[in-house]
Amino acid sequence: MWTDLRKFIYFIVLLCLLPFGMEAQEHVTDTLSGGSLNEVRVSASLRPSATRSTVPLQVMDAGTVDRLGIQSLSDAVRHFSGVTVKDYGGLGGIKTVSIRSMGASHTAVSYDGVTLSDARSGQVDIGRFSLDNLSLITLSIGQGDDIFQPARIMASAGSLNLKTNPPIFKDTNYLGIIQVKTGSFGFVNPSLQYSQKFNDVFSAAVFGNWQRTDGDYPFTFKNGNETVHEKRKNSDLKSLNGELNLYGNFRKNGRVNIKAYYYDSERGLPGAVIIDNYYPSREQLKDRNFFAQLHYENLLSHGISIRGQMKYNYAYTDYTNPVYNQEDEYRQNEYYISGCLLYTPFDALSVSFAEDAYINTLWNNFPDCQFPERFSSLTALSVKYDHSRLTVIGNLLGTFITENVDNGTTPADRKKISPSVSASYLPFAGTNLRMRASYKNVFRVPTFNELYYYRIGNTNLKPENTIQYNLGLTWIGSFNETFRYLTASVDAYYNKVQDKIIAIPTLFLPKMMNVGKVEARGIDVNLSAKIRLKKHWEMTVSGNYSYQKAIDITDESSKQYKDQIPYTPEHSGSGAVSLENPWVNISYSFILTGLRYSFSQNIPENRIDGYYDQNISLNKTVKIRKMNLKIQGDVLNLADQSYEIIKWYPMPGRSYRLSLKWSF
Amino acid sequence: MLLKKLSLSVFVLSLFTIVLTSCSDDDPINEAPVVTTGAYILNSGTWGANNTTLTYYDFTTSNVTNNVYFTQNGRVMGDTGNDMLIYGSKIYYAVAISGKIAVTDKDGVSIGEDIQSVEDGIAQQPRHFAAFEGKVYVTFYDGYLACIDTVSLAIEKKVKVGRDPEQVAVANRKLYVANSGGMAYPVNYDKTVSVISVDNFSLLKTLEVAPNPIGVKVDDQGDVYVASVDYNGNDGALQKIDSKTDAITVIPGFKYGGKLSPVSNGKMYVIQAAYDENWNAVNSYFVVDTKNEKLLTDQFITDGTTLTAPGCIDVEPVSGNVYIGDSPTYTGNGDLYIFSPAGKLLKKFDAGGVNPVKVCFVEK
Repeated sequence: MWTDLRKFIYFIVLLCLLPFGMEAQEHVTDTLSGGSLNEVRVSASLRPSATRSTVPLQVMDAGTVDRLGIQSLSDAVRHFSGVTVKDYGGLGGIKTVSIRSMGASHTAVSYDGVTLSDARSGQVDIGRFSLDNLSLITLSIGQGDDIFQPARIMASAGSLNLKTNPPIFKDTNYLGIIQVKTGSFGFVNPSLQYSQKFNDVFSAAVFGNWQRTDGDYPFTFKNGNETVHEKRKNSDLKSLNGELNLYGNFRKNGRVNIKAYYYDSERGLPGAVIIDNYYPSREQLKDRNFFAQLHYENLLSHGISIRGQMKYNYAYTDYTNPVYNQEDEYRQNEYYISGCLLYTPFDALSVSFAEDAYINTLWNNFPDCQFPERFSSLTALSVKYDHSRLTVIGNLLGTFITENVDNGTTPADRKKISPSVSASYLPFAGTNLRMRASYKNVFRVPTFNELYYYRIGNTNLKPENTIQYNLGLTWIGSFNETFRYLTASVDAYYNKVQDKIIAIPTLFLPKMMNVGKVEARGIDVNLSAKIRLKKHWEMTVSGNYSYQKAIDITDESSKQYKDQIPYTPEHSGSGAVSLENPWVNISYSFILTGLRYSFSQNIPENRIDGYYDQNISLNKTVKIRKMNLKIQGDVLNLADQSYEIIKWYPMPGRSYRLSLKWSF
Repeated sequence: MLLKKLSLSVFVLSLFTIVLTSCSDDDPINEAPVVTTGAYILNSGTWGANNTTLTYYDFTTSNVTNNVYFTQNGRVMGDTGNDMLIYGSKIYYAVAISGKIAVTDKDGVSIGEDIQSVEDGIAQQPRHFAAFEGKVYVTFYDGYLACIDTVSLAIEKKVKVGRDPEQVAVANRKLYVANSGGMAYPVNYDKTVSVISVDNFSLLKTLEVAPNPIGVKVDDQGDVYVASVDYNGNDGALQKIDSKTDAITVIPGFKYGGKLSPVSNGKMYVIQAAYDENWNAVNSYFVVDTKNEKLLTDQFITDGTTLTAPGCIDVEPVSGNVYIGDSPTYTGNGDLYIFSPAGKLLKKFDAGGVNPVKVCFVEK
């Protein structure tokens, strides 16, 4: 009854909110949204159209991030529909993205076109990326529309794509941004971006970002009748991240981008809040990551384009826990090469062929490390028909994976063909209402941990398979000078995860097995609008709502049969309103998440209450000669709500941020 | 990192599962006929989830009451209950990750403050209990055995033992502590048993046994059984220590130690698992005659009942019925199975919590 009441309340709240909605994740056309972008101009070619897309696509650009005062990539992604972000709280807490209940390891995260990987865990912590140098965040569910892509981006159930932008020089041959942020719990974060144009061909950009926090935020929870007031301890973080980009534009001979990236961090892991044991945890984590990548793209004559990329990636992790005299070290290497050919014989038809090959290695200091080495080859063939009223895309992905170990059992080679097909259709000429439908069947290979982790790993594991179906409607309208645009999309989906890898208990040890089966049905709704109230007064509203019923159908006789899978709210939504004006720009945004369960069994003990996280952001830009000085203040978790995303990992209460950004 | 965290939790979880070997019941055995009225089931919960729970099974009404500790005290017990002991009028709970020992009366109502012992800013993690002559003994995972006075409920003294100690038992005025060294898996297990005098609470000697000793039980004749659990199946053993001479003999027929029940009516039960190449486990249930150190059967369960991951095995002293807690998953509620001494299933019920690790019986 209580759940029903709560459901009803959410429903009413959402009903009330939807019409006047929230924040723009989708921009209609470049001309419409151009006015809102102060610092970063996003070139037209980079912004995909969300309404024409054959699969659900959500876009957030730097202008939106700035306007809403969004502080982290995970907060930005939490504003997308159809995703769940797992967040262990605070700056140092791990953050992963799961699309439509399929699990975080089915989400590919790409950075400037190259998929980031962690062959050991299969998951990417998006907490390490700074928003400061990102120009575009897109989330595509299923097979994205761009067929001129590395095969690897097509090899996941969905992808979160992060893009930095080549600098666009106007009057000067340099561009710079110096930014300093500070806030609650000892947060300090200076960053620098500087771009230099050398000549018509070459330019370069550097980005440096340092941050630290004590992360010792207070939290409150109830243990039955008792209210406990405590502080997060051992929750500090120090990180340094730098990037160097070289751009070469050889016109007819193509474009080159070379990137070198470095990330270094040290953090305390506060762990779960343990009742009656409030002594600080001693767990420490050090991370180091370096990669260098080369990207080349050229539009040849006769409708042929080519694209190639190479990457070397090194990742080091060191975890220590003196309580158990434990130190675990891991080193991973990846060598990656990719080529893609696009042929467009007619305007409406294009065909692409992509081949990716990469090697992943793992070293750790465990006495019986098997030192696995994995070779993967992905081949993708795509066909796209794109005419004004109809877009159809078909894709076949072939995977071949073979592994080597220094000792112990080697898993069998894996070969598989994965199809996807999607279409978007405009049924009535002269309207902007499009229908879309898509199907994708793809899998993920077991991670090194799942295969080889001491005693727990199982080299007999099969890949985890996903099947997705989506049906949707999108609409865009542009009315007049006042009501500049309204976009809406509704998607309904069904998906299934088979052979899900889970830890199964045995007498003494857990063991990874392919036993899980999850079925999910859901609806995602997105709305956004821009209203011009008067000259220089513009209001942007946007919002989304997700319904997802994701149930465990592994075993009819189990206690959790048909129960909602953990950490998956049935109802969630977000919204934002911002008002730009000549005085002080102001925005309000919120994230609303319903009841969830911390474990598979949907019993009251496992219940996690919903939450309503609200932020307010104020900003003002002052022009001094040719430079811009922007002052921004944010209040996060405005209502000081105590909530958890992950059970026993409290999120910060009300906190403050202040930032100064000087662009020249 | 997430992965790190996950794998760590799985790993720690596995450690606790390892350790969850049954009742270290060293309660003095009364000669007078014993009457039992019910059973308490301690559910360990899931590491980091603060879901240790207590369930009561009433023999007269056959009612199962969940969340007894929460109902009686208005708060949850804590994280990763590892052992429980009924001694005198009190029940003791080793709540490992909460780093505390909770004490209640026989209705589950808290008595006094929880007992917490802090070394270098870290709350010591209690693992297992034994009791003798008005004292409760507890192992701490950082390498100590502590003595708790059952009246003041204060830790009176501590003595250093080996690495990652697990179960402890008393025989011949001596405490036998299994030093597992389980954190140094897989190559550097401890392989010792610390022998400590009850009278002056000091280390008498250190005995060498097979690697990773976890379970320690005693029988009426003063024999101490030590189960060493080597997961590779090569070096484990079930051993007997004669507490008069401290001589060690290996009991034949066991590839490794397994999970031990307390000795009751001259019998001890041992659970082992054999794994096929896909890691599907087949559990075996042995019965050992502790008078003659003879293996009676390796198939105690005679009616074909199968369990997934038995976490504890305890024996109700009056009927001789065998209580086995099973954890089909790490996150869902476990089940409790009651078997007759002949190995027939009498009753099965939801344990009321995750991962049942210990059953204790309330005597009138």
